[in-house]
Amino acid sequence: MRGRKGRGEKDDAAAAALGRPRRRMGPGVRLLLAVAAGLVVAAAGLVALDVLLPGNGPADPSRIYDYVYADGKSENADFVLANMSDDSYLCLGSSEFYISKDKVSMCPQAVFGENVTGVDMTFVGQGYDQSLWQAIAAGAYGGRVRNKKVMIVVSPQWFFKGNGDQDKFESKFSYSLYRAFAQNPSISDETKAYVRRRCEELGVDTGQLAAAAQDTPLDAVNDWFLSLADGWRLRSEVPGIVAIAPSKSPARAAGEPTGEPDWDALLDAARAEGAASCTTNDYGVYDAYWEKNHTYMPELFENFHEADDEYADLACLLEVCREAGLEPLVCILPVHGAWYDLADVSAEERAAYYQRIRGICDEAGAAYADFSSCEYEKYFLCDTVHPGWVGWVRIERALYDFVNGRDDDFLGGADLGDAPGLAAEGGGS
Amino acid sequence: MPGRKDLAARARTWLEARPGLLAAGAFLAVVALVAVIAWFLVFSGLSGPVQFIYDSF
Repeated sequence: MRGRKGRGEKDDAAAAALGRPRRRMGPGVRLLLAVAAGLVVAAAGLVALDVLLPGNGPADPSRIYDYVYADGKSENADFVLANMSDDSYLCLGSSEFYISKDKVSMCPQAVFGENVTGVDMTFVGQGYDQSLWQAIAAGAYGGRVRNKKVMIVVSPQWFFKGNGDQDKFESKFSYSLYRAFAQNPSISDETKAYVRRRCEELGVDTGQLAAAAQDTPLDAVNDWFLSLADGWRLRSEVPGIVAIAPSKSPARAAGEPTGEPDWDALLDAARAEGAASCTTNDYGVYDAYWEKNHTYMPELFENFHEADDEYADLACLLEVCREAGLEPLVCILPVHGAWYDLADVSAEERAAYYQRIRGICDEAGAAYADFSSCEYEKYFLCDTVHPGWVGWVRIERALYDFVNGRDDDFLGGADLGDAPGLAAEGGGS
Repeated sequence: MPGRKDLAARARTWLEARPGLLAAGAFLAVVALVAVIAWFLVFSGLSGPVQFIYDSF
């Protein structure tokens, strides 16, 4: 202390000898400089963070990423597109993509992902992602995806009264995806305005919507910050996605074409596996699910004619596909016929729902894979909601035939005519 | 026992006699606050809506 004071006095004396008054830095100026230095170091730290976070480019090539179902994957279009298999087709859907081999051994990951059939399915979407979310995703991915044929898996539960689970849309909203959609020049202003209005109606912050659209210069600044923050968040989740991605099978790693799957053999295996998995009930519901949920009936007294917003969102989704240059195949899943009979949802109500979906597809000129005739086909579903053993084989085959331009009993709409469905096999409703 | 006002006055005097320390403290506080804000907004998940997790059939 005495030394410092002494030094200060010597400096004053030296300055006085030179005829210059010595200015000491006041405490306020010192504090200001310290704060400024702190801000500079903090900014440098954020730049370092950006450098250190994993990138969204090609990941470990010994793994396959198309069939991963994980938080942060679907919203990260850069990562999904960089790691999409060459022959893969975008599949927009929801909770049905949670399926795994240990439950259904003929799921897409096994039938396509472990072979080289010329077709893969890149899952985009998770539980509670309905038509509006899919429309945003289609606009975000549409212009950049290599293969323009895309499958859209439409679940009947989206169209329950009150528009299904639309109230969860706000929690599923992705700024990064919406931004890519809003800034896609191929999407018309009219479509963008519709989607924006719907997002506002469902509770998304208007500031975020304005930022994504860069309405004003200040919104553009907000967009810069929001996209940076969301981008960092998504990049921080990449290691988790890579960790759960399955390793390529020997056939897949070898890369030699394995040919078209044997659909008849797969159907036989599906029925056998379904029977072995559903031993405690006659509904074709797998045992663990039946034990946990058979007294729970959310379908009770439901209907499909009080969901006009959801039907409009579906029409918008198809319009986004058209504007983005995508060729959609709408996969119309069936309800569980016997279960819905118990739930007092009449066959007429269900038939009207399927017809309305087909009508929306026809208006848009979109093809569909119509599985409505499979309502009573045992093991089509693995529970009361999701495709199972037989269902996945039929869906996989329909997609395979669609991308290869072949006839299929379940393909209809566009220029494909009517879909006879199970009737062509001599069964079904 | 010195009162609170007395303690506060002594602390202020002590700090004013050490302007370098005060500046260093301000510097560290700024860096820490920016780091906490960045963590909260980007990585914590606390700044967004509640997520509905679909983790099983």
